[in-house]
Amino acid sequence: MFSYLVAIITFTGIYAMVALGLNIQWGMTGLINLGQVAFFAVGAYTAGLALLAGVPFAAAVAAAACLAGALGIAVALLTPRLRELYLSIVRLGVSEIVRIILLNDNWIANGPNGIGGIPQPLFARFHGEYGMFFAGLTIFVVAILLWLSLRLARFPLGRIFRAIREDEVVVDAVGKSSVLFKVEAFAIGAIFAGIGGAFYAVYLTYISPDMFTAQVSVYVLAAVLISARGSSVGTIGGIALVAFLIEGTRLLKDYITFIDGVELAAARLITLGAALMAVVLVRYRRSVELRS
Amino acid sequence: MELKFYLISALVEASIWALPAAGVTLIYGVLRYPNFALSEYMTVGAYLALALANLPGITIWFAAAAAVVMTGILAAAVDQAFFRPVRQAGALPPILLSLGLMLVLQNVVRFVWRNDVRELPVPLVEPYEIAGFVITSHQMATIVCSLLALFMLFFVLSRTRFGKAARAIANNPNLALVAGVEPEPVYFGVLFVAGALAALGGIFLGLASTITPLIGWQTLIPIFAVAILGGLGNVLGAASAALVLAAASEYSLLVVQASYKPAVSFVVLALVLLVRPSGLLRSNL
Amino acid sequence: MTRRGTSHRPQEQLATRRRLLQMAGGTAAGLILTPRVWSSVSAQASEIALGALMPLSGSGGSFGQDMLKAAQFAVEEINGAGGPLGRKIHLFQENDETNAEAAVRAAKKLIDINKVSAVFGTWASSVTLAVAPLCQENKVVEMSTSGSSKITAIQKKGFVFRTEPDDLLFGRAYAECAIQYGWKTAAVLGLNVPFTASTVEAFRERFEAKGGKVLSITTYNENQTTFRSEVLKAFASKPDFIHISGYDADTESILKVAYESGLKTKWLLPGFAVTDSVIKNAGPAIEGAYLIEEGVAEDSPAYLRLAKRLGGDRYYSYAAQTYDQANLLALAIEAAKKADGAAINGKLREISGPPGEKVTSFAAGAALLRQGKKIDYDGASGPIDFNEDGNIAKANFRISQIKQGKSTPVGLLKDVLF
Repeated sequence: MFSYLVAIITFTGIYAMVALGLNIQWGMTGLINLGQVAFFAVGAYTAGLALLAGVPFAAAVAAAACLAGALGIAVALLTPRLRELYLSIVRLGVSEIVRIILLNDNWIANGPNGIGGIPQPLFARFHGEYGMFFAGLTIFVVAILLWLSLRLARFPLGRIFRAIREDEVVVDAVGKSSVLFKVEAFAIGAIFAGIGGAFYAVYLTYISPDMFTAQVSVYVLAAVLISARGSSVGTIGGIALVAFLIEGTRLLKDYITFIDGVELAAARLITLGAALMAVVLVRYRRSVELRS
Repeated sequence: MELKFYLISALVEASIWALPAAGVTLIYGVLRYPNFALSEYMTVGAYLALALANLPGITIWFAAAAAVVMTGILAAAVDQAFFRPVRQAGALPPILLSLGLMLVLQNVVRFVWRNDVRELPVPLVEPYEIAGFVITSHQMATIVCSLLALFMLFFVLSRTRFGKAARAIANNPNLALVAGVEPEPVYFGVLFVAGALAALGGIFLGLASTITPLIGWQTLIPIFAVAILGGLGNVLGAASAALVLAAASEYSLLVVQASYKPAVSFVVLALVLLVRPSGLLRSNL
Repeated sequence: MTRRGTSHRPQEQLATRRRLLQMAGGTAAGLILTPRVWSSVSAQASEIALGALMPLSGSGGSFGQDMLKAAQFAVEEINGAGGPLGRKIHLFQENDETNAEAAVRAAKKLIDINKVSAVFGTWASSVTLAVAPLCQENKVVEMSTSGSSKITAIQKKGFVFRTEPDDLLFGRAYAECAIQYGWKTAAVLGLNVPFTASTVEAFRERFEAKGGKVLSITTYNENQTTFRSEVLKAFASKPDFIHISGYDADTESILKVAYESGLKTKWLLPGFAVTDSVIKNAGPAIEGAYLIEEGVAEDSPAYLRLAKRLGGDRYYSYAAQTYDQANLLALAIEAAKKADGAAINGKLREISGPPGEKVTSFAAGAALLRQGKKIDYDGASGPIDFNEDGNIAKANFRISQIKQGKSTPVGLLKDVLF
């Protein structure tokens, strides 16, 4: 039981890194990004390949962060009018292109077979208790990223991000180049996701392209959108809620006796979707009532 | 020979994509949010048509028509029940709601009909060869019906009172309200039309390949790419964009490996958007 | 707290969120702490916990649903005969969503909360690969129906067994069949998943070694819905036959589209892709197609029982395997006189292969084991003799042809080896 909880906490922590990144882009700066999974994937593969090549863990994570960040900068520059919703689809497209490249490239990425046997840092040290150690490491990194997000929000940089979200024209008028800051926000968000990807690769020790589909973006997106706009802590709450719903329904379904098999599996996913909708209605209905 | 063959593939694919993409673009134009659940209405429509067509005495035409209407009503009803309470809360709640709705719709279908691979009860046909083009009656029906549906949509939007009200809200919601336009009936109509279009697209898709609970999810990204390329909110744009992306995808087989095909749409999309950031045509209905 | 925008009041949303989190936390705590709750979620102390991890949604969905039913039927029979060591089996079921990551979380739950000794029924190769390290770490047996050759490397560490012939064997079977029929040139249409690469590689090697030629390989993607143009590409070089390496939905689509484009050829298809629905749906499009079917034991009493239970005239490939997997696990427990994963791991080879008296059911096998005799389980999916890696050492494949809407056996490829 305990080991399972530790595992879920670890997964939640990893996705929290990705969600925090998306929060910096969307929540704070208003840059809609439907393709966050691209940076997640790039981070995962970079770290995985680096570790397999014998690179030490910290360096592998750094490499993952750099490559993800670089891709983030590239995508941000490619879509300068980053606020428009429809341009966000281009970023979704980028994530799909990344996935297809990974799926097809048999040289480095091993195509659909994925890469396995990724070595885990300090495995020998913690052997029996590795789950706990890794969960601790993950939480530690999430805490650092959260702290960075919060500082960012308070710092002038963060204020500029929020200003861009509210009214870009003003920012330009004051003489700060909004494009530069948008690229920065986007890249930082990408770096967070890349770090998450690195942890993901190490935790699972095996990654394949089918793990990086748009489905991931859906859950991370839900987490960020549930929270109050721009709130980093809220994002953590959001991803915890999503994880709770996903795993909670998994545990609950064992009690259901009158349906079975594929119907039970479908019922669980229906419950998950309905719960998500219920959360939205509860959360936002009050704010509607209050305003009117 | 290849070129003519690919053209028919492209036309069929464009016909399938254009309808739900028009639905997406319509919802975005009038209600101002991307409705990710619309592709799942394709799945619902296809399964409803399947279920009806398998009943004794029901022809495929009737089944399809009924399924289209039923799905439209379902889409409008769901919108009134779940999306209406949070209308005033901005664009985020409906996006989130549509994400949850995606899971619900696909899995309700899976719950009722399970995962088996199905076909509409329409016998396979041999193709005609006309001026070097290889095409079946089904494919001709798909292309023609799709064009008709798009034409009807265009007519509704430009000539009817509903259409004018929808366009008014899309262009300037506040002004429309002041001018006395009642938004909720318009929203009902918009969702009905979008759901119906998606269902029709789903039925054509089932006709062209197979019916599984996944067909909507598999088409989600292409139809959004089409909607964006066409300029969100522009129905004519959606139709043209469908043609452009379908043609690009199919003809890409001449130069790239087939497994890269899904990426082609996005490369085209990115290139066009670099040059024309609002999409092919301007963002209005 | 500074105001952010005008759309929300911080106090109210904080209150709502707090309430939600409280509700969530309360429910979670309640679930975790109530002992009565635990009795339904874990097996009784006397029961043996096994975990079925199968694709109940996603691209493997159409297979997973039958696989689970077959496993449940096997457990029913096993428990009806008293169960291994006189203890009943409690089968926990999870949906891996044909996704490696969801599978890992589901497996974690099975291993950690339900305390299963074995996780079986993993279908997608990526799922099998992702779950394997977890099982090996926790000394839980993993039994899979995946074909990818890449899995063999992982199997060297033990605890992972496969009842599906490796792709290497499949590839060779396709080649042998083609050679047998005197076909000289081939085109391949392949779904971009792990099993395709290894199968096609093995096929090409054997085929070209014996004088054949592969003219083109066209790979398509999982989420595609139309394949018309890809099909034309395969036909372009006018091959003697076309091999489709895919699953049911895409195979059906391809056949249909080829027929409706007036393109005709000899088709060589994987038996597991051509389910009952495909044959019915494809109608004239699949007439005359050749199938290479693995794990056929249709005269086996085990298969007959299973087919009767699941529905008569279908060919069950993966479901037959999961049925056998459940039986093998139960027999291994009986033989080891212990129910933990390590014990099962130690006995699986022994009870599944020679030497020993042949048995085709748990009841018969258990009876012999209790008399101290050795057994050799031959199941619904074939003789299933594991080699030292945990793979089917040599496979028999049946060649069938679709004639008048029915799959008719026309040949046999025996003892295809690694």
